[in-house]
Amino acid sequence: MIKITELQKTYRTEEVETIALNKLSFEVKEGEFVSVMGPSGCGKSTLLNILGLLDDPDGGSFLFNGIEVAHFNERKRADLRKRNIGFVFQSFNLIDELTVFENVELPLIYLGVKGPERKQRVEKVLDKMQIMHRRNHYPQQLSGGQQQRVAVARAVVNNPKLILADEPTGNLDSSNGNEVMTLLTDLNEQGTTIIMVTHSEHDSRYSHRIIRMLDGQTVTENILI
Amino acid sequence: MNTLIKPALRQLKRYPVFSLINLGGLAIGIAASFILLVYTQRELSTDHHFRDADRIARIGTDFFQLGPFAFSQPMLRPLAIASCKDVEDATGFDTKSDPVRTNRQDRAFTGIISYLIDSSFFHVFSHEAAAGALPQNGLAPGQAILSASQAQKFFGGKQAVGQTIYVGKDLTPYTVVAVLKETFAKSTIDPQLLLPQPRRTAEETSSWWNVKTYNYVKLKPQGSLAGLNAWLERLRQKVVYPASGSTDTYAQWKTKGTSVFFYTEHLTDIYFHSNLKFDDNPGGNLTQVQLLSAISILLILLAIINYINLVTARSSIRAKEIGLKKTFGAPRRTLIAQLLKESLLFSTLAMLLSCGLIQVILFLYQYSTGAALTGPIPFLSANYLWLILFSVAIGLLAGIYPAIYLTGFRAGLTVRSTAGSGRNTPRLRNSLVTLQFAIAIGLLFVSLVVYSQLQYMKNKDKGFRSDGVILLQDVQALNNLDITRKFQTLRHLIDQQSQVTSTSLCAGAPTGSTLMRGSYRTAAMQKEVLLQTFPVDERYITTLGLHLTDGRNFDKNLLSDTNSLILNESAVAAMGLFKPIGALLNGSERVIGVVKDFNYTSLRDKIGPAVLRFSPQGNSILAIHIAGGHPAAFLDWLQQTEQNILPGENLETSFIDDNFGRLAAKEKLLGQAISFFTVLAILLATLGLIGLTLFTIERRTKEIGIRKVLGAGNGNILRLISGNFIRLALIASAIALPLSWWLIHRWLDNFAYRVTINAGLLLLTEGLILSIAFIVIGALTLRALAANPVKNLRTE
Repeated sequence: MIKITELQKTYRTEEVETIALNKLSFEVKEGEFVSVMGPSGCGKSTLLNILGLLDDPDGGSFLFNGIEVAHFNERKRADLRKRNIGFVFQSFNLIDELTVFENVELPLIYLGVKGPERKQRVEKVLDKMQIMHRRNHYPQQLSGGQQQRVAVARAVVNNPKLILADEPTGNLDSSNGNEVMTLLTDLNEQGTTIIMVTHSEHDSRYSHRIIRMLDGQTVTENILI
Repeated sequence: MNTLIKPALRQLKRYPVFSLINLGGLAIGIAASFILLVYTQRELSTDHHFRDADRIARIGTDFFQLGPFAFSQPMLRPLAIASCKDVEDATGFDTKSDPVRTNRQDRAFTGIISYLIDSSFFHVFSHEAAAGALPQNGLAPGQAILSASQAQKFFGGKQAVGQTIYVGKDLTPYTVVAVLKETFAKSTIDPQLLLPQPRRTAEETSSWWNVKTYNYVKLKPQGSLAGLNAWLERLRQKVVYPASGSTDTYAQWKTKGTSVFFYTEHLTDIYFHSNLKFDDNPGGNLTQVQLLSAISILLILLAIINYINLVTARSSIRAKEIGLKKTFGAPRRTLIAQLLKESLLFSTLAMLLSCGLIQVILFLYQYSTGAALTGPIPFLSANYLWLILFSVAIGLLAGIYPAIYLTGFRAGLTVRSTAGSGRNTPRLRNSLVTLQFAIAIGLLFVSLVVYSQLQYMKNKDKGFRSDGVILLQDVQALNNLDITRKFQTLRHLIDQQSQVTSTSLCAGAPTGSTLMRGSYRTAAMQKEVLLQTFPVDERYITTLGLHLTDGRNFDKNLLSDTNSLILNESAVAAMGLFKPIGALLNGSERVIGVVKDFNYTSLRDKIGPAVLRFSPQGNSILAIHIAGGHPAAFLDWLQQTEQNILPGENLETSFIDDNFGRLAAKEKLLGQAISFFTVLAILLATLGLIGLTLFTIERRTKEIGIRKVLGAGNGNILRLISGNFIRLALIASAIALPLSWWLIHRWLDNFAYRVTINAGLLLLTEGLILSIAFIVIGALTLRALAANPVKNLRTE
């Protein structure tokens, strides 16, 4: 599903040039659950941004479902992104001004899904995530675990092929963390590809494979199954 | 103090854009409204600066229904001093406009109004001398006093006192004994040149129908206007009535049009309320002053709203600091005081900035409108004390709400989270933004209507040709046979110029200030009516482009035409003539033509009846119509030729449309002032909008990022950010447009001829405001989007 070859990304300020990704190559097959690990500053986030089509690489190739997307323009990337990719963040990134229902509904609005269908799909996913009873609450009224469940619901509501999770349990206690990991595992079992950046060895054990990074490069790949 | 100034300065440094917008907005608001405040205060206190101004009154008169006039009989002064117990002193001055030279051979300065004053002038009107000494008991023969501006004009930087000036065509020498001190205060008594009053002639001291003197009395402290009026009534009965030689009883005579009437008014009422004719000063317009003071209040309101909005908008940042201080035990009172001091410090900074801005705005006003709103505001005057008080008041007013709002958060809440960034946009901020939009929309609409009305007045068919007509004044003054012949040569040369299509000798142009009334009656009328009359020659209609609708023009070859009249349509109606052509007026004067109505006063007034009387001789104005668009070349030629033929004479030239423009001068000032300050108001509102948009984007960066990740396009984000503002702007329009429509209609009601406000103007207003809002918000949002808000997601 994803194949990156010799991917490069460099950040420049007036004084410093930082190489974030240094000719990084790997492949993720459809239906895989992959963890990306490494110390802070090793390029995990840059990688996730590029995989999520939020940023573009300076060099190398990025095939998404066999299509070269490395040099897609902003509009094409946005279009590909909203149809295929869901995001789960460490800090949930819910919009404070919107209710649970409205937060989950958002990706469908941008996909142009009509009202009644939207309602049906949102309710279905909220039900699945067991937060239907909180549908009219605002994010601040929820616990961290509940907020992350809403975030996961929002990530899957448009049935993406790929979910990118950026330390999804980073802000949660262990019991809530486990709950979210179980949710992600369930989704993976239903066929969604998941790439998760994490610092937690515990969480990484839920995945099939661990890619370890250092200084913008892959150091090892562990197969867990 | 250190703990106050340092953090405040750090805030300035840390948030330069916010601080600059806030400080700049407040300074512009203070400066602009201060200027308008000074303007209105100066207008409203016109003539109040004279010592005992409340005891000074003017006496006007009327007879034969010609007036009422602002001037009156010369003999009123000695009579009032001698026999009116309410009067402490009285002065009467005539005015005249004579050419003045500083050297017998030099070209003359023209257009200077001189006051011929008596021994009491300075007793009634207190003045101070900038140079020399004011002769408190009047000028001796051969002495003159100049205003500061005239002294500057005549002698430049040189000492004026002791110099000789030559006045009039006979070059009478006068020695300058003093220069009047220039004051910022406005006055209807504003002499450029003071000369001694020559001895009154017998006619002047005996006739009640000879009026040319502006008579002012100073009442005794215990005297009153009622007492003066009672004395004038006794004067009518005991002196004027016997002198009239009327065979009626006094009771019959005193109500008749042929009687003499007196009008009195307080000096301090003259500027705004006097309706007397031939007032030396054009007078003020109270509606205009009220409108401009309203704008002044709106401007400062806009600046205060900006301040409140920007400070409370940034409450999430300040709330943490306040919360921490609360946690460490600071009482709310102390915190409110701290925030108020900050706002005072801010308004003081803004005030200092506004001192410079005042000069900049005054300069820009003069630059863009070509006219000064006020004279230069004297530095270190009481006005600046006002500025300080004004700024303190603004500091307190703008600071009080943010202080209460910010210190109202619970300490624990603000320390832990980001209060103020919750889901509820504060209702007050929305209301204030709406109010701001409403002010901008209202002002823009009003200024567009005023502009349209001015354009309408400029372009309206006045019934005569208003462009390309040059008036050459005072050709009648050339009463010397040799000069008359030379003048005829000049006219002949003018007629031969290829640009000149026609010339006419007349006694009055439609835009002149001369009042010429003739009395007319038909056989069917019981009483005669007095109508405006223009003595003209046979080329008047052609030169001025009047439209003959019936009958014919005057013919100089027909002897009978010396007794002919041409009426305008209003005069036909006023006389009740069914078939005007051939009608006989006053028994012997025959109507031979009718012209379309033409406007001879301001467009405020309905066109009045007017009569053209054939009078080919003795007229003092030469009207010249030139075709094509090069009046400058013609004027150069005219001046050159005039100098060759009539050296030393200065014929005054003017354009007829300028004269009409003068009639509309008051409206023009209003139009200029409103447009100028509306632009400032919109600038202020735009600054506020920029600040709030920047804040909104900053506050919603995370949300924008999330939405982008979830697939929102730039259009979605633009709609998100601008949606609330546009909604508020629409609500504001719904409030402001009907209100300003109603207000401006009341102003338009003053005009007999006015524009109709159509939907186009409303749409234009709405379109302009929405465009400005959309451009500001759009540009700032796109700028934020270009910085890729997605990157911020992880740092949140």
